[in-house]
Amino acid sequence: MQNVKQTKALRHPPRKKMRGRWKWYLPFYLMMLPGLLYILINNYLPMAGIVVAFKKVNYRLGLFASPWNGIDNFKFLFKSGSLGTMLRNTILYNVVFIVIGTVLAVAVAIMLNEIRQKFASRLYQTLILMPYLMSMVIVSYLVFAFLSGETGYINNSILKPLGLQPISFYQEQAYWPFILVFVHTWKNIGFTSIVYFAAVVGISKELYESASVEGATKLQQIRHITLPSLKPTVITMFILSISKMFFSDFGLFYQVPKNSGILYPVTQTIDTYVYNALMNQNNPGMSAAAGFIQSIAGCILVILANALIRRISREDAMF
Amino acid sequence: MKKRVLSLLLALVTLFSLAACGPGESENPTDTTPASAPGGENSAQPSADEGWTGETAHIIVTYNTLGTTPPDLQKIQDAVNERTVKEIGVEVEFRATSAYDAFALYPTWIATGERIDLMMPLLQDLRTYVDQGLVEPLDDLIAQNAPYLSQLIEEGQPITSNNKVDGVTYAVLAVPNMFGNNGAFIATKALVDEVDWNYDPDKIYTYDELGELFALIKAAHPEMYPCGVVTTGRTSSEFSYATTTPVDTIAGSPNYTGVLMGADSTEIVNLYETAEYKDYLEHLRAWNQAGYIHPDASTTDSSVNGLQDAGVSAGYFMVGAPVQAGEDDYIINLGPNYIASAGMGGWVVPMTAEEPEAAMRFLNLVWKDAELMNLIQWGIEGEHYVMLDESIGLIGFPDGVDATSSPYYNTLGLWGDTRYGYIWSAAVSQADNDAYTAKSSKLQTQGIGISYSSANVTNEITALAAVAAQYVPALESGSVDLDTYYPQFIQAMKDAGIDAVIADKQAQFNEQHNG
Repeated sequence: MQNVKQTKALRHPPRKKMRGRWKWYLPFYLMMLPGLLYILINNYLPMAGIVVAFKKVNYRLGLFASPWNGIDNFKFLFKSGSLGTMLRNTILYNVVFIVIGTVLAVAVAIMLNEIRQKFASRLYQTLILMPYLMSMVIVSYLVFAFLSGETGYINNSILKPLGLQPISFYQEQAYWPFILVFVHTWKNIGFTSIVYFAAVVGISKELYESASVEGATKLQQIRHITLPSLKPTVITMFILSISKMFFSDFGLFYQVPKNSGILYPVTQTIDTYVYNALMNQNNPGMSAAAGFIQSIAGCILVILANALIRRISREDAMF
Repeated sequence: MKKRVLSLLLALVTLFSLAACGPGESENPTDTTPASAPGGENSAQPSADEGWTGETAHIIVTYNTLGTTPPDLQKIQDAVNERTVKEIGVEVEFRATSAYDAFALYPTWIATGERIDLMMPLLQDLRTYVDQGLVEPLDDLIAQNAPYLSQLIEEGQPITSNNKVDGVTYAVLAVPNMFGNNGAFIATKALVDEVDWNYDPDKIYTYDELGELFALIKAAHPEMYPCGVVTTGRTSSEFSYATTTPVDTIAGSPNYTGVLMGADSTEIVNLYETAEYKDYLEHLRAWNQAGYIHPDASTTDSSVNGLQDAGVSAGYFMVGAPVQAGEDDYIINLGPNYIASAGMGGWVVPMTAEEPEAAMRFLNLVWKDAELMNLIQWGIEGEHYVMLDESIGLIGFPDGVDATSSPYYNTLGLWGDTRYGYIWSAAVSQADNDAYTAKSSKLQTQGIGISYSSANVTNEITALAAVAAQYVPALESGSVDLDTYYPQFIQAMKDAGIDAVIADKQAQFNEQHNG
């Protein structure tokens, strides 16, 4: 989007000789310089470290002089045969999070907008934002307080009085896709809905006024005014989340299921697998290899997502 | 992270807390040095003829804690320096690190060039350090700077013999005060006596008999979970704590890389596929379903000691060595005493050391001088401890001080000759330790003296580590159905390449065992 704006502002550079044009652009390049330097140092320079993924690291020789070992460092990812599970979990959970998160957050934003009493509106906003401010470690204990086998609320205060068998939540895979989606949504909806709320507030009041003069119901107003006006915001948020498609919220997938191994088929993501497998190994080569795969796959996804968006709405695509 | 460390601490208890005991008078025939004696009466001797005339070297030494740095560490450091500067020209600076953080910190320190002269990578894989070139070879350093360590090695003390990679020494370990191992259940005396279970310290009990004890205790205290099991963050089997037969993982390599089962065995097998292990799992499952095991055993943050102290459980599986039982505990033996090949680890000199010679002189003096060792281990007499019985080296806290309020109390025994360390409980004397050693010596595995290098199968071992961490906590707490998950687990190990690892280990074993 920035590109679009810039080209608009610079639509008519003075049509002189090359040297003059260069002079005209100079301030812009100067303005760009700090940012460019930052990106070079912070984002591009460390990329040289990618060679670590293909080396058998020996600190005595130094990172770059260490012997090459081909793709040996990558093998451990494929050895356990759980690569497919990890990829599936990482991507599917992210897809579900994006879909459910967007729908609910937009709904909440619209509802917040309909609350006329200022104080109540502010109170609800604060309340749903609270979980977002909590650390995942604390969230994991809140969840544990509900699910624990011995003292858990669900087992002791719901299932027991009903005469039902207690459930060992941390040993049962079936419940976790729901628990994780619930926890993630509960924790993050406050933040995303505020972003949408800001967009909803920005919609011109006149549109609604003329709609109600025309006799449109509340639902019709939402459908024909609010939702179409939110489209650019939704797309921007979508692109942002797509770029993180290959990374998982480590806290959510590691802390909340208490790293219970039996749950791995439904909770293990690339990040948690790498953490578990390499915690004892101190092997920088293998860690770099895992990060390498994650980045490459993430990059491919971003390109694919961008292609998709270009089809849907050309001006919102990144490139 | 925190949870994983709990199991680390358990292992650590077996390996190192042994330092907490050991009286002065050792009957060990290898003890020929007059310099080490309780109370260190003779400890002035080395300084008399070895006053240091050269330049004083400053060395940085890691100081492992269990999370909190003792407030009086500086005081101890000053007291140590008062002696070492004069005697060996070494000024020590302790760098306190939590053992929890050391896994991540130490390799990073060395990799980024941070200077450390002497380091104790507690329970970390020494071979990784050697493979990545992080530590210096020690053979020449010891020979040139540490005459007393050389003497100990010649006497056959295993302070370096377990720490060789391809024949080169890389670490020095404290002199142990006890050898051996056996599976056991540490149980609260009062509960065992209350239910009239005929306890016999010399008997070896079966799992079924132990189960009867659990049943009795559960009947008397329905709110209790008598079998204290916590598997949270367990990354490999703790079967060896409950083993009914000698198990040797070969020089401390992870037990998912194949083991020797039984003292006479020369065949590397997958521990997790053995009948003994399956039997152990089946009992755990039955005990869990009978309500003897805590429902949150695989997720709780409590430790087994915590559960026992809180009266939630009656005890836990642990090596049956004398030091493991408190005065209120019985040791219920589940398997015979034996000696297996020991794990690796100890003090290393990182490649970022600037004064390796001074570091060696320091190690030499601490190992030689019991007084200095006890100063680092337990602090200053009269301030951090008081001598209760000098003849056996029994000490206690001064009035009004306890383990939590003491400004210097660190139970990690990583220093010197632990046979001469002071003890805190008269119930555990060096005589008990020697008796345990003697009993264990009768049954020695074929793995002793064998070492194993996993360099050929690094990828398989990383994958196996992930598989073990996935299944072991649920299986060893009896939380899941064995019919479903046990076959899955074994299959996952095969997929991860356990057979290749066992073949590799067997080949190395055969080569060294016959040679």
